Amino acid sequence: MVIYFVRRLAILAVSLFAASILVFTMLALLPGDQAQAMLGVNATPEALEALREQFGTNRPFTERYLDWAGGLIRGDFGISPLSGVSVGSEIADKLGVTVPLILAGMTLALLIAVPLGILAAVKSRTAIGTALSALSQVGIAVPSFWLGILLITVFAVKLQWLPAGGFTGWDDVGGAVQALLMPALVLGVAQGAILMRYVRSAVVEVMQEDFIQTARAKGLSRSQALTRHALRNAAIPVITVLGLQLATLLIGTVVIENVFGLPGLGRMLLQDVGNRDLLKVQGTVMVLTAAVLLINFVVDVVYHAVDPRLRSKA
Amino acid sequence: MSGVSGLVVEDLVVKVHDIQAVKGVSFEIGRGRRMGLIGESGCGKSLTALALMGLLPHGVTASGRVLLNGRNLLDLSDKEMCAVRGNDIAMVFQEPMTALNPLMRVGNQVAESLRLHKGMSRAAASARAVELLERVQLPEPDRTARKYPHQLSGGQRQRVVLAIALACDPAVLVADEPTTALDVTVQAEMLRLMDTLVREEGASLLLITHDLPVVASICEELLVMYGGSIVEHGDVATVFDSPRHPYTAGLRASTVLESTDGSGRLSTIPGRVPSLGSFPTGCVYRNRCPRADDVCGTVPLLTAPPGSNQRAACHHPIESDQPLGSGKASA
Repeated sequence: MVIYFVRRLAILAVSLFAASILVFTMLALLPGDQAQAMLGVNATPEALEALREQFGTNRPFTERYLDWAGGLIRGDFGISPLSGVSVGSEIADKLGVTVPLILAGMTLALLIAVPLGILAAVKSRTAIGTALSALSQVGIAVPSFWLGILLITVFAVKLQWLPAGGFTGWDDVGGAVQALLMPALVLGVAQGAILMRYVRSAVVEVMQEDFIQTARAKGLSRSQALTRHALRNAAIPVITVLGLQLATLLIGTVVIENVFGLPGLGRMLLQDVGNRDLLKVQGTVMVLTAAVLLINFVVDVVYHAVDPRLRSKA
Repeated sequence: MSGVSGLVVEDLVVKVHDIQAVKGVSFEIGRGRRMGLIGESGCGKSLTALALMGLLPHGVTASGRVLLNGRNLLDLSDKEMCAVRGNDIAMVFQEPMTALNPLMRVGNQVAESLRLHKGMSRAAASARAVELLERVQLPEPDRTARKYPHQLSGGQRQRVVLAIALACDPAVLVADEPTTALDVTVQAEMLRLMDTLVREEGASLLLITHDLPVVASICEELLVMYGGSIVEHGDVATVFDSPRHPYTAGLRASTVLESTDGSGRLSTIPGRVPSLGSFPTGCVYRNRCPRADDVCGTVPLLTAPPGSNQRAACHHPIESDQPLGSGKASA
């Protein structure tokens, strides 16, 4: 297990390195540069060259990469030439909104999906099971923005319990929690409905396995066989889906962020792409890539903790 | 049938939705006796076993009586049945590769049964589990107990399944094709082990298989099943040597090497087992039977000739001095 952990960690490091090259190259190859974007089509070649000199974008590719990558290692993402802000602190700021939102949303999703998914599986041949499956279908079908607007109408406009949108920062913890409550609920319902389907089908499938019959033949009741034998086995496919959901949500929350006016990562990325703020885009994409790699790393390690078959292959 | 009755099955009917898959089967296994149940795939053997265990899948129902220690198991609630399963009646399954939980150490899987029925502490159950693994002749039981199923071979896994089944000294052991999935060399060992342990425990054994020699090697009595009905019953040696039902004769001819069909190949029973619900009326075997005639349109009773206990459900049973009905025609 320890050997596996170290090996997987090494793979993570190599992947991050490869990703940094890829991200940097892709953005360097994009047609049009920042100087052109700022000065417009009528700019003189001299003015363009001067601006490029100022931004350092006329230096050789390798030199620019090493400069940027070296900064990353020190935690320095550079200063955006366009807006003059520190890219690193901008990203950290937005992550301070997006990460708590995702964590709260996914916690809620798990709280919805696991019990209801198991119940839907156990009662799969009854009206309750059918109703739960239908409910999850509805949850998936309802668009997030619509649910968001509905919640705003009820809880912010009519009842005035919660703010309709915006985020004032973590200095006011109470206010921050209030601001994230509805967006997290919307996220939790949408993702929970998806996850619930996976929980249900995983449990239904595992309950048909031979070893459940062995467990029942020992004298375990259905619910004992479920809790002692089925759930851990059913967790394996669910962990996969959970990892994928987390990775997608990092920028997938952009719709919810827009509805609730939250200054999140996805929203910033959209704006930066529009403004051609390439250094910020580059930093943000790198952070997202690193997060996805990190999530996959955690998922793999959890797999190994759960499934002994993987441990002996390593 | 000698001694005190162990397991008595009376008129067991198993319905898959509305179709009778087991059509009123009755038999009795004396305490400490070993009964073989043989038949082709789809004849209702496994459903019979699952009905005894109360583990029929959804949509499949059983009626009749399954008497164990004076109680009809079919009348028990699932909760009551949980106290019986694994304790009074236990089962060994066909597929050792999938019969164990892949995420649980095998020792714990054996101990689970002991903790459940005997109320043992975790430590006591673990220690007893190691003893049981030793009884089923697994090497280094101490270390094996800490292994996961994927670290064991098929034969070793089946020994673990056997250890689980025998953990609480059940009165009846049902073994459904316990050796079918194993290598031939391991099969014999497994059968010998099962035979020894069942004898030592004084348990009754119902051994389900499609393999006649397997039954012959450890059972005293034999039930032959076809189309959801018992078509022949008697002492293993008698039924094996001089079958009275043409189906038993066909089965025997297709497993015994001397009875080749002249071209050097093993003989086969013509036709195939009909699918559930499409067996003929009357005698279930008449569409494949070389002896069938108009009389066979009525259901034959399971009867023995005077002075014998070899019962066959056939209107035209083979008498011991006659040649076998099928398979030997061209020999």
